[in-house]
Amino acid sequence: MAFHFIILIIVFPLLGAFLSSLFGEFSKKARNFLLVSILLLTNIFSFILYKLIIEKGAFVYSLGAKFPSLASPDGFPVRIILTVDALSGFLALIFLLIASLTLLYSWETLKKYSSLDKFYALYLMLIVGILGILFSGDFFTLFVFYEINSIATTGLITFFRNKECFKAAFHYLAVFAVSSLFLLLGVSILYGQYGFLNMAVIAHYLQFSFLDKIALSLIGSALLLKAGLFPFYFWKPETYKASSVPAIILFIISSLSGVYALFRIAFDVFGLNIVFGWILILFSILSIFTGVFFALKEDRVKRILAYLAVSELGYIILGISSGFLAPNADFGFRAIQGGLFHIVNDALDVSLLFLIIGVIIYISKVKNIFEIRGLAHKKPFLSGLFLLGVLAVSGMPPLNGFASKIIIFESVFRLNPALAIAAILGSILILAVLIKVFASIFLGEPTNRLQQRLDLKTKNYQPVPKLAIIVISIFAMSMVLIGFFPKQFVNSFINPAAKALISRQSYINNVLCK
Amino acid sequence: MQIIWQPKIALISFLLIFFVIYLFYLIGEKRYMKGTSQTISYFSGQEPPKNIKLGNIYWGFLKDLEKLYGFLIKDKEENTNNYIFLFIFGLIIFFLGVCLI
Repeated sequence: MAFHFIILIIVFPLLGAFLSSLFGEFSKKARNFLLVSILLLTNIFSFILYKLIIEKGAFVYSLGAKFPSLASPDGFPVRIILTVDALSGFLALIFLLIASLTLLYSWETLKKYSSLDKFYALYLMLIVGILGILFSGDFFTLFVFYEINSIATTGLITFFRNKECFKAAFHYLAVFAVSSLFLLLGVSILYGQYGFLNMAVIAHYLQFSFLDKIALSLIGSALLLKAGLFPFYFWKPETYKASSVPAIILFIISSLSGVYALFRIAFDVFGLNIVFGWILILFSILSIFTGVFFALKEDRVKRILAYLAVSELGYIILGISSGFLAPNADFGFRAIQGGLFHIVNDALDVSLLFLIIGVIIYISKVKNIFEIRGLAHKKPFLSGLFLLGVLAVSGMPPLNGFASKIIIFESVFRLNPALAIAAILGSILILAVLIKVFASIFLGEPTNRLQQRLDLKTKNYQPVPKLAIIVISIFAMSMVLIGFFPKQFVNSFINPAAKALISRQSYINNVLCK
Repeated sequence: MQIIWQPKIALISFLLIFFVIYLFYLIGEKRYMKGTSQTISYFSGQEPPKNIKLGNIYWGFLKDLEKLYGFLIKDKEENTNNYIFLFIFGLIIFFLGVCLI
């Protein structure tokens, strides 16, 4: 039975997406109960699945075969194949936890909006898209889930139904429609060459011809666009600015699923190393500095955080790509560990900042958050949590951001000291940007407008949403815990994930049942 | 695996540093007077610029880079074609890089 959890983890949110709209027509409580039940079950399945993977090894699930484990291409080259190993299983677990907590956060912060039924349907659909990208074992399934991801994201951007949202959604849809076409073209080239769509089978027969290089460029560009790395970061600021905070958190983990797919294909299908690794290292360094450079100029907080998300992504890619160059060397493996560790930390840290900004917008009802000042005088606990997020994103000890960045800096230094120096400089600049944000919102004398909004006696008073604060506190506690016990976290979760990523032959053997 | 990061040692160090800062704080100026020249910001001995918001703490730096920012940011998000162009541009760079392999 546990074997079927792979497909159930995808099917449950998919069913929930359709049922939530139906339930919402009759009762909001029933809809919320359904959402919680589905995400709770999916989390439990994901947890059990991950435990099984650690005990027994990777799982392959083939739809339409006589037995689900029958993923061999013999006799039937085109089949939906899902593969889950220590890396994809771990990321699914983390992403599902974050998505579930964010759903609870959204209950109070978005309750005044009328189109919540559609929002939650798209929310679950995007979770399906993210999980699908993580579990895809064949290229066509990857393309389908990439499309689901893009369409659900477009819908979520339009949540506020204003001009800005529609413009951002149209831009997003246009660019991702083009990238989907290129992705499909890349997949078609591989299918035309080898007659298979199964990633492991293609990896087994890969000749790395010129056509394969074209396919890699097309597929890689689409995934880099999803990840939002330089020079494909341009959609992020506008999209994040126009969207609701719970949707942004999903966009962050959706981007990270793009990073996963990129490295899964690059490592395990194409098995590339030196030049490809250096291209990604170049992109990652440019990402770090581009993100910070534009964030310094910005005066809208969501756009600032979007640019910082681009920078943070640079660290992830820098770590994993450095490992690309020497996966068997000690420092190479550590660089991959650092990069994968930073995926978790980035998801937690940047999300925490966005969640707090969402609460501030909710209680102060301002359009531009920089209109208020001195919030630390009124909401010291919230300010403390934001400061924690600022320090974590900037990579300050003793928080989780530092724990992963120090691994990246150390190992990248062994590859090339200049890269480590650039990465450290980028981290200092991130701190500089976040000090600006912190100073603007939390320090100084509180503005009259803020005084009015937060005064209990006024009719505009909006109490702090307790459930949202609990969710934010859980994020903060996880960050502190990971920061204080990084060794245990790395040994338990990151090590198996890193080994799964670099073992190309065992990935191929697992799928081909060798 | 060896991780050189030791949170407990860092925590003890931070507590010691905060203690030293607190000692400095104790010997500091106790007579804070609101509304006097004590509270006016010191801007290199010159008249501080007007209409600069509190959050704009990198004002001078951004002022110097104004032209560069103006060139890079110019109408990038106003036109869908720019998005497609940037994607194709990225794809070409990526393709050229991959072809070097």
